[in-house]
Amino acid sequence: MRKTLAVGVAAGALVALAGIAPANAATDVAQLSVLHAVPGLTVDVYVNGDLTLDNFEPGDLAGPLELPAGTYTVAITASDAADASSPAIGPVDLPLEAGKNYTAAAHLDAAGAPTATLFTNDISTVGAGEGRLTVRHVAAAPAVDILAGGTAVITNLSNPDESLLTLPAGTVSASVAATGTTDPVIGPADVNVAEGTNTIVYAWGSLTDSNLALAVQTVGGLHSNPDGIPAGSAGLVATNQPADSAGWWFGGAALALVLGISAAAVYGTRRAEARR
Amino acid sequence: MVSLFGWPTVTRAARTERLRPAQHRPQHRRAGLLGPVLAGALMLGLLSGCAAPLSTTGGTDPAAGGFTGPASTAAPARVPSPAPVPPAAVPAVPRQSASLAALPGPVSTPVRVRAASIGIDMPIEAVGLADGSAMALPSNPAVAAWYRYGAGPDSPAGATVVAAHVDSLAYDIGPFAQLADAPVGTEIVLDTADGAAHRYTIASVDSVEKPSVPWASVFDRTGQPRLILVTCGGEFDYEARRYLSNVIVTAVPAP
Repeated sequence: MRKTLAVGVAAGALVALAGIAPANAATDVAQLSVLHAVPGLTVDVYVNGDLTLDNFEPGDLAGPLELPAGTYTVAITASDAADASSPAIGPVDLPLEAGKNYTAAAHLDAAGAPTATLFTNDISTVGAGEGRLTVRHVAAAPAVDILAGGTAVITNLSNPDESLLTLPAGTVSASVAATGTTDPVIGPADVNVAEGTNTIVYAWGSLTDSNLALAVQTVGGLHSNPDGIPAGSAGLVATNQPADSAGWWFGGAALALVLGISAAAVYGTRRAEARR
Repeated sequence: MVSLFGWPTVTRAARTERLRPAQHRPQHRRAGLLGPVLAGALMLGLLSGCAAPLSTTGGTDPAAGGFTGPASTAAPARVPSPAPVPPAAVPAVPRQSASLAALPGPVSTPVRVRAASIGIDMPIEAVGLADGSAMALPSNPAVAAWYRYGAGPDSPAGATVVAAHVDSLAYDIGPFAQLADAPVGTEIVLDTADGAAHRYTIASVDSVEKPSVPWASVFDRTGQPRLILVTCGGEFDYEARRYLSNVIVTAVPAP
């Protein structure tokens, strides 16, 4: 039986192989991802005048970049532009705080014009067995409802707003419909609401151009762990079996009995001899 | 294309048509980006009138990002530039498609755990939490449980957690009772739903009193992929009918 370890003693490989904390736990930098949600336009992205993303395609997600806290000026140009002097979107100033997790989305506004929005991603811990679902409307389309399994779970979501839900981990059949209706304009599509993860779904594209679609980003490491594994209730392999101490009593009693019988036998014999 | 003279550092074939007419340079393939020091040194050489050929080796400049490939090795015709600006490095930023189809697939599910040398051969059920905040376990000690929200045998990181009762009043002593005395190096196999067998060897066996168990290490989803088997053991509290310790076996993938 292995020695029972007391508090504070390292438990061998159990602790030695444990990993480092997830990246989004870093508190001295901001994490920034960039989503390209403008259909039909390959772009370059400049941050503070420096080319940071080159030939960035619609529907792609870049990052996360770790950046010291501060305000960053982002300009998005056509992909063959020589520099950031004539951006298609921006320049926009993004104030980033340390310890936070952001997504800058280049997208169409409700009227169809390219724009950019800075979203702050919720990276607070969720309970064990739960996942977070964030839905963001970044499409050239009017307000929508988000349906899960055909039932509206988010209503009247407009561009460029977001809505958050905490759900039991699992797969959701999600669709997007014009608010107040149930006829899907996007989906239905299976979205895995992963446990301990913020699953961020973007409705993007243009209704009039018939290219509405869903984009997904995940931010993990938000899980809680079970706080125990109760795995035994009968005591059959206990290292402190009751027979151990009771055994002394039984053994002692047996010994006394044997001695008593022997003593009686010897005494009786002597008396018998003496009587002869 | 090597960038000198303060021209934009990012190179791609599509840009060749936009070069200034007085210049030409052979566009063999995407070129490596030079660090500022090397570019500065070459510029100094050019300014001093030396037409040094570009003989740099290719590869990735870690400061510059992910471009690879040898630089052009022919000497281009060039005009010395006044006030050269060191090229800015484009950081290597990870990029992926955000389409739904690109989401990672489900974790591979372990369905059986076997350790022939210590008499373990039992099915595994995927579980979450019991009522409350502890991991759920099947009541039969001959059926093990896998924490479904953590890593699986194919996960790139993290601990696959498999647990079983050591005993029960209804079912007597279970196979996991053998873990407490299992020697380091014992082979353990996890069979997954896709038919694959994942082999591990025991690296450590610990009996830790329950209030001291580092649950964040047990349920760690980061770090080296590994298998952690958990059951109960140690002394038993006969009043509360519970063991005071967890037996925790850490196993690493077999080479």
